[in-house]
Amino acid sequence: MSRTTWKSKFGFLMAAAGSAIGLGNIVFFPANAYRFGAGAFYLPYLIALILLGLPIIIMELGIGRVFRKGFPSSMNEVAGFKGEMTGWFAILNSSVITMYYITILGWVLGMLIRSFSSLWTQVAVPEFGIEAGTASIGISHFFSIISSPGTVALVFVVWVLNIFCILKGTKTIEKIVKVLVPSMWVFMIIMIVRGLTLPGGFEGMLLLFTPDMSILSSLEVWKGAFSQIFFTLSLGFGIMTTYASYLPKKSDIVNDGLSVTFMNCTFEMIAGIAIFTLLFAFSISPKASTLGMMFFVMPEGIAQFPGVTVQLFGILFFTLLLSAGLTSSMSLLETVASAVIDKFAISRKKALGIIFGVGLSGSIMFSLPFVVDPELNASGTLGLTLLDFFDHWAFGYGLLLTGLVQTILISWIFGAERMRSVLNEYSKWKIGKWFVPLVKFVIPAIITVLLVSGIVGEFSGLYGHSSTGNIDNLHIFALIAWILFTVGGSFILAKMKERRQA
Amino acid sequence: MIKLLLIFFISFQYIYASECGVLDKLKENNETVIDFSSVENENPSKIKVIYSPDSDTSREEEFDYRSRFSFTPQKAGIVQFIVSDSSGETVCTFKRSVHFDGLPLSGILIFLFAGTFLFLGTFFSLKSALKD
Repeated sequence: MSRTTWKSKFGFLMAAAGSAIGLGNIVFFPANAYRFGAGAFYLPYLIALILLGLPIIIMELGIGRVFRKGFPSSMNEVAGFKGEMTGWFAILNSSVITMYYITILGWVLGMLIRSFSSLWTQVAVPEFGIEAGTASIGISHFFSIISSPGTVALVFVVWVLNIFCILKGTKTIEKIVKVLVPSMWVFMIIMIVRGLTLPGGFEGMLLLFTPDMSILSSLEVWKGAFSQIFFTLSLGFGIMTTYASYLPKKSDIVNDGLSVTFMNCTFEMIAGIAIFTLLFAFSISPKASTLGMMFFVMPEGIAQFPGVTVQLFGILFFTLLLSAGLTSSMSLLETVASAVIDKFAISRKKALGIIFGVGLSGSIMFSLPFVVDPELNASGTLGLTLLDFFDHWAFGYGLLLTGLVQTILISWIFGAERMRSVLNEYSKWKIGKWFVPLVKFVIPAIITVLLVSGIVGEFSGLYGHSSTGNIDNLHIFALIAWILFTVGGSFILAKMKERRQA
Repeated sequence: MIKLLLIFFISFQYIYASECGVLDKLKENNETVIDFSSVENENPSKIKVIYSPDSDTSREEEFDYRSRFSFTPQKAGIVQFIVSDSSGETVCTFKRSVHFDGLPLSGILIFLFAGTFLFLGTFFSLKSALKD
């Protein structure tokens, strides 16, 4: 089956950058930077970018360009069954993330619709015991949206939008990202200008970069920075391999990797400035959570803007979030679609039909409103609770695990030196010999430390053990379901190909 | 991505705790007097100051209650004030920004370094990629 290609290099770069630039860049980075001491976070962050981010993204792009297949099939070429299983693990793990990511985008759409009219006045949410005037506007509207059955319709709309974006593969993706990605930069620059012109805004920007050197010795800060780089560049999803598989054979992958990485991190920097100006101007302390920043903290800041600018910047902010979310979610879906099409040799239409059916069901599960268990009102809806548990395993562990195994397979089985010569084949900027020890030893060691420190933490109480309401062992169910779906599913899918070949 | 989600459901009670004390602009290493007399009849006992609240680098200082509280912030950033009564119950809480005492040289240097590195990196890599 012939593989489509990007019409232009610009289209590919916008698609790859749009994939990397997501909700996390706009809200999670500033929250993380604040959490780990602002400026003191920036130095480890830049070191992590060079040591971990760039080499992995270039490797992921490299195997896509060489094998010109989806992630599992490319990994099969790298390391046979083990490689393909790793590839399918990444795809299935990404599917879980896509399901709840689209649910979150549904809530963003809900907030965007409300920001045209009622978002800036308080509402009562009796299901959560919130009376009008007792919680901030962001909190009251967010809980109002998630406790309403209408949230399912929002999720459905976002799914339809996503399917439309990838309907004709690179053809539609390219058209959409060429509009959305530059628009996101324009929106963010408008946010920065607004933030810097607020009283105290400039000092807010300086706060982001002023280090408290005493905390640089904290392992937590370094772990936070390395994790941030891993997640912000969309590593471990298989997206970069899929997008690079649509590139012409003689593409300069090193330069492409540099472009995507720099665009992503520059966007993250300006997003950090925009958010910190607001936080300082209105004395708001962010809590390290994407949801909290998006739905509670930022609306709280925007609501303090004068007059009509409240509505204007509210609409701008949620449009920015929706655009960033869409360019990321469509890349996740394209990665799944590409893997399914490559594996089963079915039409794109059929593959998208299957993905839509399964994915929508999952997203609806994560958006289940306040209907199942009244005891859950202290910790959100059943859907929100499940979302939190699955996010912990799929995002917190699944991506790192994929990154670790793929790096080991590529550097030890495919060969780090061979990978280096593949990358240098059409590259203007040649990668030196330092690449070999970096990918063979340093990167696996760093990811192992991140993973092991997380796992050790679980021994003091498995994540979610105290927040399942009166549904016993919901957190254990989530962990088992995630393992069965990803590990079990990847084993079956990788085996299936062997049967086909036999 | 969504770690510590549940903290928010606890924290929104905090956001809307009553506010007290009218502050002038707080400035790093500069003494400011904060008037807490509006909560005098609620038996206030302690004043807690949290630097960088809600972060892993937060630091707390506790003082005995004074209606006119003389405070010298040690560093710029966000600070939270919590006044509590003798049983430890919060009487009032609010956050304020502590301004820099002059321009922070280290912050400007890191800003310039990060900005130059990232913007120039974007410019040259994009220029080179699109030339192809």
